Amino acid sequence: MERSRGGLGRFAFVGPTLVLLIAFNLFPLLYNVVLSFTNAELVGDGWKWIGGRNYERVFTDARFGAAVRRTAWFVFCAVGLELGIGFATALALQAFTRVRAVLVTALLIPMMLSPAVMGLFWNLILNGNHGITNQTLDALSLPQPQWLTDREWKLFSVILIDVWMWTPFLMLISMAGLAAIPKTLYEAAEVDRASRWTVFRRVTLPLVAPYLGLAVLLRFTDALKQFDLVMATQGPNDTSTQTLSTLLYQVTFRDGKVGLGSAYACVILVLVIALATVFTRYLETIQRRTA
Amino acid sequence: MSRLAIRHVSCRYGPVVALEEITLDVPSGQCLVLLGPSGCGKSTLLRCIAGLEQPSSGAIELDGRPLAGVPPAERDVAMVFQDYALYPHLTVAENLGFGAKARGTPPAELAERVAACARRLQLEPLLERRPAELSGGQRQRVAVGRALARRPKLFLFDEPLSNLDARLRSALRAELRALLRELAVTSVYVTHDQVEAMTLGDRISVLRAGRLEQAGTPAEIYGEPATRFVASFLGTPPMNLLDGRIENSQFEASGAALVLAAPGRPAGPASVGVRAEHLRLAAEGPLRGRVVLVERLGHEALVHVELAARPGRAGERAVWIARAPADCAAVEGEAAALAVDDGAWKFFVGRSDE
Repeated sequence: MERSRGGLGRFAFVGPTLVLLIAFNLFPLLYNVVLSFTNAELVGDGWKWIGGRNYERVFTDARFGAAVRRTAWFVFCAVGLELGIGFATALALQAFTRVRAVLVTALLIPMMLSPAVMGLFWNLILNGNHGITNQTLDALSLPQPQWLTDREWKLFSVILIDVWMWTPFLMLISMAGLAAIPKTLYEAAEVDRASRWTVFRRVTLPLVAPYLGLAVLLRFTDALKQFDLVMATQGPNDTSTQTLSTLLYQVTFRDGKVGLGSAYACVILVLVIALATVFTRYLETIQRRTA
Repeated sequence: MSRLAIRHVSCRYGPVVALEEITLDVPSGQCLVLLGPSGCGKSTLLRCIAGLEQPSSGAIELDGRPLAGVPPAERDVAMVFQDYALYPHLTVAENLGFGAKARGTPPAELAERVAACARRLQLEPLLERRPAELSGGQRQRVAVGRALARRPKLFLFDEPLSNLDARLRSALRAELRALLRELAVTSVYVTHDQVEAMTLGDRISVLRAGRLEQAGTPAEIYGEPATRFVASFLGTPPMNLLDGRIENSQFEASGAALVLAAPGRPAGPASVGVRAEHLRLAAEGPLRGRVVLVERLGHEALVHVELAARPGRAGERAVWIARAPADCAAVEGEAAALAVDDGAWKFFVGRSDE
């Protein structure tokens, strides 16, 4: 009696969440896998099995290879710059003990805004004709690139906006990591006659690395899904800024090919999981070393 | 071999005085222990010697060379921290060699030094481990070894054993003492543990609220405490004390029925004290009272005697502790008298809170 009531009680707590998880996470995932083997379309009903033909199309589609390369480049540049600038800012902020709280709050603002809104704002800022960037460059008699329409600049602009948005996040985590290093380690190194460079290389960097690694992992998985900034500045069809997510969107909702889109989704999912796993393993070894 | 001289060192943080006019000498090869309760300024003084803090005034000299303005790295001192300050991502061997390596010691000599150090401190089986895989005692050994491998002019210890449990502390204390004697290296050792102070120090300086209360050999500090504070701080159990006043060369206790001749001592508030080992349970004695507790420790017994109050004065009663043989016949609740050995009375002039 007690047992069964305990079981019911447990289900009462876990049940609602479990039901929601199954309904909104697990079922769509499995349904997506099923759809990826069909020729389902957004409009019209009835679909039939076509086996692995969708996957064949994914891997032969030139757009897919290009999107993979572009996304990889985007992730590499954006996260790399965010890490570099964020960590450097955190190091610099260590010098400002008094005004640090104010500075940090100000620097965190970009992170708190919605990416779609940010995209629209930057649309105005980078607008080739009346944007403030080009007006400023004009006043300085400097060349004014078409940030959002020139093929050469489009992806760069998206990277720039992402860096502007997410550098504060890297800075915040770096600050937490730096704060977690015991002060006595620096004092011990100081007494041990280590140079500032040695202290940075052999004390600060290795001890802050697990924090940086975690932040990069989070940003990395997030940047792989880059969608909103591209949508807000370029839309899904633009071939020079199309990422995996916007390509998926285009195929599924613009072209209406749900079956093919599902296959894309599955491939992207596997890709992200594989990369994240490799990264997590690496992170674990770093963390073990500094534990 | 190097000697350390501290001259009129004061350290102030705004209105807070951490150290006031401290003057001390550590002869070459000796170990000076800075002893005092937390917040007495002993760690601040050590950090001033290391160069991690700057004294507001005064001078510190190592081998006659003034250290003012000399950064910690240039002072040729090694420090062992309370929390060990081991680099968590480096192995024991790398930790041991960190200081020597940072100073550009050639690899061959570095390896030799690390090996010698590991041998000396029995760390050889642990060389490839990281600090997280070590016990507290092993970590402390590595911290000592790291200082050792540096071969500095001066060793500084900041409460190195206070994070360890009692058994380990006593084992490492003995080891550390043997090491300091063997190396005969000049060192300054900060602790609030009087047993460490007594066993490790060639000389002890007792600090209280930033001031030097007394400096001397362990025997002097224990046997002839200069102030009531030193008397109450050193010894387990601490010295038995009674507060009172001296009038007309006569001491009268305020908390117990005791009147003592105090020839030649100035009138005013004063205290008297007797170490527990100089008290004997006797049929007659200057102190009378009632046994309230007998702690039988096996090799001896500590007899707590609540002293009788002054006639007509009730209130808080003083409890004195006498060391007695293990088989002493004291019974809790019974009346007792305490006899005092000749010359065992110590007088401390001044109010008890001074």
